[in-house]
Amino acid sequence: MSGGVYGGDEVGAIVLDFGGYSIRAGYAGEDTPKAEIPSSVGVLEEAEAVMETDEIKKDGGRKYFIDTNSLRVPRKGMEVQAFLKDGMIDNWDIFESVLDYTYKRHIQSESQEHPVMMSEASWNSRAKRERLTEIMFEKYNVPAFFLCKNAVLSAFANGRSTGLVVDSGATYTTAVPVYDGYVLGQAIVKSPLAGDFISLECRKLMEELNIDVIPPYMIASKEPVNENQAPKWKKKEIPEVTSSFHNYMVKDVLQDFAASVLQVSDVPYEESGAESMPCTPYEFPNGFHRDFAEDRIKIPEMLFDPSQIKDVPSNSMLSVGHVITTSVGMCDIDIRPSLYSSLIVVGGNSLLNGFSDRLNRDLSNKLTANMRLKLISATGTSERRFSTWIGGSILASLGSFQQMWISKQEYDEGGKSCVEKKCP
Amino acid sequence: MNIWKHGMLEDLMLNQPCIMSSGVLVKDECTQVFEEIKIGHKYSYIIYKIAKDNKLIEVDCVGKLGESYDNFVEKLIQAGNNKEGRYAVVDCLYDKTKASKLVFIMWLPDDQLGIKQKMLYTSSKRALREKLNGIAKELQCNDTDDLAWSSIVEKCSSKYD
Repeated sequence: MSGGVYGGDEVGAIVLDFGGYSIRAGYAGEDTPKAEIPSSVGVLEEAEAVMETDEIKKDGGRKYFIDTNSLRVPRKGMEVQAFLKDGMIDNWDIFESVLDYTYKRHIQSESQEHPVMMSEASWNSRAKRERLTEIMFEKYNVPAFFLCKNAVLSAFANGRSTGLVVDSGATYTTAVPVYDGYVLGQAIVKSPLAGDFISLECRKLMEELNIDVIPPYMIASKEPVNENQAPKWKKKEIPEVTSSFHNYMVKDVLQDFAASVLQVSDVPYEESGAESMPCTPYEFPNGFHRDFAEDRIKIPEMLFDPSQIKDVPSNSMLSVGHVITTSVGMCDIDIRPSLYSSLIVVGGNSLLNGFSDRLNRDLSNKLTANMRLKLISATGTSERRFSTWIGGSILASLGSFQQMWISKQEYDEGGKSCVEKKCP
Repeated sequence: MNIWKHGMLEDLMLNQPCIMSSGVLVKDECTQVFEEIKIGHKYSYIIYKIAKDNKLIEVDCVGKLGESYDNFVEKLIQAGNNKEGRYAVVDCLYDKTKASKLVFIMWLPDDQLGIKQKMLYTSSKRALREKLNGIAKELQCNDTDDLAWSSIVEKCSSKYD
């Protein structure tokens, strides 16, 4: 592929989709992203001479450890830090390092040879969009660039130009109304009851049950034990790690626990009914295992009924159903039926067992009978987690799309503000 | 007196909000046939599709006057079976006491199409829609329930968009 040529169907564009949990990167036209990189990186302030291939060195002795393999090695004094805040890029230094790394390891090509399409949070600020555009053209010298709102990509990828995109991801559960391809920004509603919240509640549960969650990095060996027996495992020789690193690794175990054990009840939770629920066994990395019964239900119940959350005033949080009704309630009455009849459910947290069924039930109880309700969610796990990326991948691979890119020439003539015109 | 200053139109065009769009173009025949249904009521419906090369929107077929609505639905379902989406305009006589209304339909059946067809049709819709002046109502249909005659009538009789 020659530099700067992006005519025809094969444009070799790169698609990047940023989420609170991971960054998805790959070539346009492919079905799934080539790489999924954690949105958190390891930061070591004063670097010693460590021989690693995946590290990115920065001036001033600061070193970043990026991507799963390198991030998960225990290192003395390495803090784990996220570079997104509120869904928007916050730490530009880390962002650029992650981008450098992605080009080097996964794309394995020069940035000036590929147009770049990126997704952004629907509430991204103008200043951040312009700064991003500037970095892509000035630092990475990309031949063309495009920025898409992730809610619009999700809606389009699900065959809707109008609909309410309900995204339950790592940091937030959000409802974003899309009308005829526009995001109705003033009616976006966010709630922190999402994936990270579930992990936190799982952690509280383990503390209550006196289960010590030992992440794999600490374990040298383990022996099989009977159910509910104290685990037999040997600790690995490891350097003293920071608490942010340990917490990150514990959260990883709890995320696996949540995905395999938790179950959303299809009716509002009652103590008596939950006892008859079947138990699910779970084995922790250190070999300890036991059955979980009503706690499987109790934790995800908090997403739908915040009054179940301990030590939080119940009226301060919005349940998933409430996020949706509040958002639709802020939209013009004319378009409410079209939003309810196209509720597009995306995001990793919506993969909790029973999530969509319960949401459907809660909403039908709240709505009047003549309001038609339809939940749309991709059936495949990868389609739901990557719907935004796949949408961008298809769009960027269309031959006709080449006229839509912000070209290097347009940027040189119009400056960074051209992103507002070309990518509304 | 000419109140237009040089560049004013360009300014106006640039400041118009536009949406994320595929860049697919619309063949002239699309608007010609539309004018015939709008002014002459020459057909009962028009079905549009995106040509195989994914670059142009063209007329797939038109319905003869008096052809039944079921026939029209049958054609859309057939397209869905072939894993393709469609756009359509229907001259809809929803109430015998009133004039007919032109209804625009985007047909993307949930269960049958892959993400590529959905993405292609949703991101190209605006290009076609902008050329069709005089559409009264617009529907997005994603399953056969959405296509039911009763849904169309309901939409046409509603005072809302």
